[in-house]
Amino acid sequence: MKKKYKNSIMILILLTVLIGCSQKENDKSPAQIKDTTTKNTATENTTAEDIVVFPDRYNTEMERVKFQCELEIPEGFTGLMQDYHVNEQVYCDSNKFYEMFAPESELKEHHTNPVSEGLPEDNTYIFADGTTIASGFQCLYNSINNVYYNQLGVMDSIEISSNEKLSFAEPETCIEDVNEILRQLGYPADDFFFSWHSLNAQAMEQAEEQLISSGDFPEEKRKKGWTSEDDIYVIYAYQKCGTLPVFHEIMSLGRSLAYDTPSGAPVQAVYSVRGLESLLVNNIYAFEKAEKDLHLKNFDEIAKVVEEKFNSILNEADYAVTRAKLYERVYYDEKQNYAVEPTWYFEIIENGNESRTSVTLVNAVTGKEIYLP
Amino acid sequence: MLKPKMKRTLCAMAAVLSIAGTITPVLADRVDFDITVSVDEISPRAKKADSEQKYYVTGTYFSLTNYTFSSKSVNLNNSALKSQYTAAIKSSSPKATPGYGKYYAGAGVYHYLQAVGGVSGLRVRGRYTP
Repeated sequence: MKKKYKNSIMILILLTVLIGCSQKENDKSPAQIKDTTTKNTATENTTAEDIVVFPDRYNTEMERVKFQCELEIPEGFTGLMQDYHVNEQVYCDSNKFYEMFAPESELKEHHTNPVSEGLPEDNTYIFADGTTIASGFQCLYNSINNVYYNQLGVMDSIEISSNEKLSFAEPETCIEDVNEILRQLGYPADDFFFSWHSLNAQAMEQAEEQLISSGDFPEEKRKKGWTSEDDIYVIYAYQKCGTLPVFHEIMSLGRSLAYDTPSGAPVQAVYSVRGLESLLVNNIYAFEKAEKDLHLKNFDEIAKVVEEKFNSILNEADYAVTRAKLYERVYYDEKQNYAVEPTWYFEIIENGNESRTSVTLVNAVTGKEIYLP
Repeated sequence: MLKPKMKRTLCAMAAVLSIAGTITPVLADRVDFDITVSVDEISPRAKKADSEQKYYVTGTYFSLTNYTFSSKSVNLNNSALKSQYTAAIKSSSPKATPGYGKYYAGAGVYHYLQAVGGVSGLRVRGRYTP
């Protein structure tokens, strides 16, 4: 009798937690869609049910979850979705890379890391003039100056960067240069979404000073004399699959790596008046169209998944969805084969505190949340 | 029945585990990490600035006093390539600067810090420079 009583109590406790953790459907107020201007257009041979039309913006408020974002969908996206396969990951031509970037300076060090079967050798070459080249499963070039840019973390230094053009070149010229290098290295050039920002020497010098005075940076790491020759463009690119950007496999390794940032891009380059200061290329894929078409869920259904997730958290926090971007996500399936699926990427800010931003991914076809480790 | 406070705590914990993750403003070649052993085991990516064959881990918060947290510096694009030596820190000795050992970590290569040991649920916040 006593045991039976105990069991009943346990069941009651479990039920209480489950009920507490979920929200009743009836409690929700209806979504208020303020702007549903559409941007997708149909092609001639498609039927109405093949095409999903997404709004340009999504502004709604459902209990504690507020959507206030543009839907980041590329210009050419028609609303009709084709399925894709990944044929393979594309590695650069290591010999060609070495030929293109090795300086005339003497080779000082050569290191080789052992890699698993099927992967290209991982080689690093360090030259007397400070140039570093690495090739294998990634292609990497660093000039001697790049150590200072690396130290400051220029790829993601939003606080000190701008979109101001620099006097030594147009950003488009640098982008075209990167595209040409990719082409020569055997990558599918032109299949990238490029972006850029610039940093001037003064801002970088101030940032360096701040790091040294706060004790985050040892004095001996200080660059001696910043000049306008050190002004840089930071160029980065995400690959395209069809018309959508690729959420590459590394971004699915863990929640902390899922953010859509310049440092997450598979192509990264830095240019100064001296020329290319650094280049990094990795996680590029060869895609192939599959025969079937995919039918994407409409955005209301996708948004509901996010709303329900955050409204079911038993706290008093408010959540603002500030980014919604449609990607093709590349990942390893259960059989450890590459797979691709259209995926919505959301950034959600808790209580207006940007340092409390999390990423939620939702499969754009099934409407199911994708959980990252 | 569960007390409301306890119920709230359980639900909040479940939610935090499913959404944890923050954008760390990056300036400098180090990143802030917030790792919970067996739950959220990797730091954000950080680019190795130079060719020094050491990495730096400093813990600034430990959820449990004097439990050791062990981690390794891992190549972002090939998790088989990681530091040979482990950074073992605890609240009474929160800094470690192990060498990479047999793995050569090149300048400009992205790495992340991965928990490789520690009592399950141990949460450690700190800074990592690959």
